[in-house]
Amino acid sequence: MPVNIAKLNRTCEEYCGQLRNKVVLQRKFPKQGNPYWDYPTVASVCQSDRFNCTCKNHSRPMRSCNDLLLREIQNCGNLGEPATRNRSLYNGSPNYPLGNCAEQHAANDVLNELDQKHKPKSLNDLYFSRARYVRDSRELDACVNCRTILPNAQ
Amino acid sequence: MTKYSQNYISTHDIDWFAKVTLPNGQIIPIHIASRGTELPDVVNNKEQNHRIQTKVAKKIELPLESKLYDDVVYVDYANHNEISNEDKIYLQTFGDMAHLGFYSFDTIMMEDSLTYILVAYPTSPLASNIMDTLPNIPLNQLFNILDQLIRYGIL
Repeated sequence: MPVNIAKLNRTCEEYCGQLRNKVVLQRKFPKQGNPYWDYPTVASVCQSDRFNCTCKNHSRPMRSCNDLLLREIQNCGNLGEPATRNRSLYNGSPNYPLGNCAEQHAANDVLNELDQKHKPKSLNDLYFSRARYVRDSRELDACVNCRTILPNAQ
Repeated sequence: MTKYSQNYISTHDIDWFAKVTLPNGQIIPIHIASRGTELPDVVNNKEQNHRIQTKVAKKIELPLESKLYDDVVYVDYANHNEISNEDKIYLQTFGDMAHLGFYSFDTIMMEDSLTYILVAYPTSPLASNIMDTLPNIPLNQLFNILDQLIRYGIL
């Protein structure tokens, strides 16, 4: 099933708007335990092209993840820490802690959902919207880590 | 006092607030969108920031929509009629803060160094009950904001 990237981009834009509303409402009417005090920096939407599965998520610390994603992350370094391998790729670009990016969270959600039925073998089947800043829905490029771990991250 | 963790700071776009004394003695309230970049020590205090965020949010009008305020100066947008919908969404949070009385800045990383960009500033002062709760931040911790204020004729 071909992935409609334009549709993923629209979904991501709407998701950013929903997250913005959550943050303002939480600050206006505070509830204990609600995680949305601050805007997540970035949001992304991921879809598997072999199975009809789409997930959206945002940047935040990642504590554990799907085995397939974890193997790719560990090729770059340790989960939750900046990458330690392929240092030459960064060339001045930011080296964010592995697993924290919106794309990696969205991919993790898709893999976990597919795992129940299909056991995916590779990350090549995952496609992504353009990443967007949650604050204003502006697009930004995927970071070096995401492009290394997720072949189709934009 | 609870500090934000490094992982939280790098994955969140934190609205932080402070007041700064300018070389002419004027004290101005500032709002900065962190965009996942480092926070100065004086504002790296979760409880303090939540208290200010809550006070500020209570003054923001619902529903949230991309509106422009007549009492706010949007520094790169002289003519409100020519602002695209995308730019209105970009300007929304900065305009909301300037409408309340803050000088509102965005953050960008340029070649590994932080730069603050003035997006919007107020034409009327911030309410004193919010101003009194803001931490003081030394001007020398704010990189280029003085340049920005001079550039736009505020100082």
